[in-house]
Amino acid sequence: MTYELIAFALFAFVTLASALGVVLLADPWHSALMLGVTLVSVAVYYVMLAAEFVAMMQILVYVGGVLILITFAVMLTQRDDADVDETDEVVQT
Amino acid sequence: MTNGPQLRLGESLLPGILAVALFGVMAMIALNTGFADEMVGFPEGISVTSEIGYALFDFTALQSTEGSIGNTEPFLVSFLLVAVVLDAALDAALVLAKRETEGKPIAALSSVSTGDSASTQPAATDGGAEDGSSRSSGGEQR
Amino acid sequence: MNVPIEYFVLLSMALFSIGLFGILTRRNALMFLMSVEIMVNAANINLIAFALYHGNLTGQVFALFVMALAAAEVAIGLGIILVLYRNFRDVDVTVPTTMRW
Repeated sequence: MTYELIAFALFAFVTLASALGVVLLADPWHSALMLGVTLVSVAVYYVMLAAEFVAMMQILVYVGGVLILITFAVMLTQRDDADVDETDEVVQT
Repeated sequence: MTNGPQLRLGESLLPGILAVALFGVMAMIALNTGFADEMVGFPEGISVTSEIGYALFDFTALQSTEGSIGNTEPFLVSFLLVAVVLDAALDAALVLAKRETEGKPIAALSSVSTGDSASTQPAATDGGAEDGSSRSSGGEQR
Repeated sequence: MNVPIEYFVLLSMALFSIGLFGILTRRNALMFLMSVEIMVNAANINLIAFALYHGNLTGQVFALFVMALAAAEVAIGLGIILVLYRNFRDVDVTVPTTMRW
C-alpha cells in the first residue's frame, strides 16, 4: 500500500513542479521542455489507474505529436539574436 | 543564445491568488465529497485494451457482458465524428499554412532564394512554367 | 488500487489551476497552447480515475476522444500562431487588435 502511495507522491511532485515550470519559465523553449516532462509523468498515472492503452496513446499523441508541433512553432517564432536578449520583452512574456 | 532557465515572476499576484482560491474551493468540495474507500476496479482476466476496441467499434457481441466491465457504451458514431473532425483539422491547417499573394494561393513549402539574381526560380513540381513573370513574389521572404 | 481517488482528483485540480494561472498571466500565444494542454491533461486524469472508480470503460474511451480533439486543436492553434507571426512579426496576443469593435 505505502509503496504505491510513495510513488504517487513522487510523481505528483514531478508533475506539479514541471507544470509550474511551464507557466513560470521565461523562455518558451524551456516551457516546451517542461511540458514534455509533465506529459510523460501524467502517463504514469494512467498506468497506475489500469489504463495502459491510454498511457501509450498519451505518449504517442502528446509527446510524439503535440510536443513536436509546439517545438516547431517555438523554433519558427523565435526572434533573431539581436533583439531577443533584453531589448524586447514582448516575445518573452 | 544559450542562457539558463529564468523564472518569470512579478505582475502575476492577482491571477496567482485567483488560481489558488479556485484550487481551494475545488479541493474543499472534493474533500467534503464522501468517496468510497475502495475503487470498484476492473475484473481480472479481461483485457482492458480489447474492451476499449470493442466499445469503439460497437462490437457488442464480443463484449464481456458477464463481467462487471460490460456496461461500456458503444462509441462508433463518436469515433466517426472524431475522424471527420481530424480531417477538418488537417484541411484547416493546410489552408492556414498557405499564403495568398494577389489572390493566388502559394504553396507553403515553396523554396525561393532571397538573392536578387535573375536565375532564382521557385521550385516547381511540374518542371516550372516558362512564363515566369512575377514568380519571385512567393515563398518565404521577410 | 490503493491510492484513494481523492488524491487523483486533487492532483487534477492542481493541474487545472496551474493551467488557468498560465493562461491568465502569459501573453505569448504559445504559452496559451501549453497551458490549455495542461488543463486538458487534468481533465483526462479525472476521466481515467473515475473510470477505474466506477469499474466502467466509458471514461477511458472518452479520454481517447479528448486526446484526439486536443491534437486537432493544437494543429489549428499552431496554424493560427504561424499566421499571426507572419502578419504581425510577433506572437503576443495583445498585438492583433483589428477585430476589436
